[in-house]
Amino acid sequence: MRDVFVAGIATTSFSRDMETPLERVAAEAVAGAIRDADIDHRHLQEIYVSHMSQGEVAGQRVLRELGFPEIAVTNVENACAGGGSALRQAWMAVGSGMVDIALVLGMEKLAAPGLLSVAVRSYEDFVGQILPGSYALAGARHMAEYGSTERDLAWIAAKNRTNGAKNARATFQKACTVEEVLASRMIAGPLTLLQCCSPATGAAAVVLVGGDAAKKIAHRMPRVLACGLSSKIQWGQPEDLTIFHPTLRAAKAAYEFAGVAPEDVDVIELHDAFSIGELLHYEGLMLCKRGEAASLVRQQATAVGGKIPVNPSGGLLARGHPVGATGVVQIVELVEQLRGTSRHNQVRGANVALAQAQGGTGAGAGAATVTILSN
Amino acid sequence: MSVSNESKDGAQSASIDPNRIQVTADGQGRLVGGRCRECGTATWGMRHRCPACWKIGSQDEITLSSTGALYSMVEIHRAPPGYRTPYRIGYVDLPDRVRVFARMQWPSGRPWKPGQQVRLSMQPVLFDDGREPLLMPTFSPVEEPIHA
Repeated sequence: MRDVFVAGIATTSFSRDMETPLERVAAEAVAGAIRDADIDHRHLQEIYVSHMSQGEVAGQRVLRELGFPEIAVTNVENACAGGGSALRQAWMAVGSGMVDIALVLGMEKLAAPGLLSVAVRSYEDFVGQILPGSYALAGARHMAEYGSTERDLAWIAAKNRTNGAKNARATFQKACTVEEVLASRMIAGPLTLLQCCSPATGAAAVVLVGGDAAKKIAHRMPRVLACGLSSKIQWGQPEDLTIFHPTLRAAKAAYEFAGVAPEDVDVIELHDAFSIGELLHYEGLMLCKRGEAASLVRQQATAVGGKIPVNPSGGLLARGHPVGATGVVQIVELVEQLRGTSRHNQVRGANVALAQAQGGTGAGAGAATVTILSN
Repeated sequence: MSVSNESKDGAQSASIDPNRIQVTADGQGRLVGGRCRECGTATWGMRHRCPACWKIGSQDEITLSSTGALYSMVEIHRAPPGYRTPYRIGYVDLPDRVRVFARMQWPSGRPWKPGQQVRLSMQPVLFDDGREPLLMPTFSPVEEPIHA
């Protein structure tokens, strides 16, 4: 693999807008990333587009808005891990030498307000399961086995929402306290409303370059060191739910390929669709030993200014979650951190960054990606 | 998902998934599974293809254990449309390495312990949208008397 660089980034604001056509929202991100990369869009060779529910050939429908040349487009679906998956495809294309310039677009338009849900219906849904419930079951077991508490979870939600209060692009820009999180409406014990993300509308894009194209870029660019990908494929046998195995496998693959250890990472954007997710991902990303995720909370290690800031942008909880876009906006946020240009919660001297995304049906099918970037 | 109904005292004994649950006219229920003749792997619900050894049509129908170990349980307060809340759901691990997902009936305020033994009964699931109650597999602590 040769070096792969991030030449340009852009994101729209995220919101619960259901009126603006998807193509218009996404075109803004595409144009913005190309402008930020300072390249001629006619030199783009391949585009990878992540979304979950936007219909057939969604990427090409977006590119019509921009009168794009008829280049290769691949539409990628991996639920909430789609953005990371599309990025991985582009990383492999550029890193292999097949492609010198690729664009990654992640996008989603909100179909209906409410809690996050997926389309596929399963037996569990008929019994009365909801997507937060699947996280709640994992969290309840973690609490029972390891003594993590509702306050630990609420701290994570309060941290992220308060971080997001400084993020002008976030759907929710309201700080809150642990008490307010605990007092919000119960959804699926222990998850209260403020611990659950809201699906949203938004788009984000990045331009990756390698080889000769990279030499022509005048500005400094961080590198994509590794993209790990794994799946959840569970057909009914007992398994340990106190860790998300796809995230752990993707993380190990990424750390190993990048030659980076967890303690080398300066800043993280991870998948806090529900507060429980962030807690368990501390262990999945090997930021601490198994069972000890709550210690990072109690030491405030993942707060801005802590040993390893997590979700300084506000995460999914504050940004909102346009499913296909989340994995890409994480890269936008982290590149701003690596450039030193973040307007919200800049981590001083950030040189190694990690993005993690995860998604699925909640009933045995899903994916997780881990991406490592560095200056 | 096919639903077959036989009424019982106003509560429909609906086998919400005959592949996984069989309900008798008196409201008793059993969890149905399949065991592969070739490799011995058991599943909840008969499978067209054994997921372990890939043989097609290789399963014999079995009745799964009606007691098992509680893996995790939570209370749902915001449900899919029409379901009356709150209610509990959980994962129960049965012998033969089968994990099932079911409603839980739990004494109010009683804590639970990982691995605690629980027992199956059929209990009515209630709706707020006019639908008749539906009997669904439900697990409760083995030491509790079952309330019909």
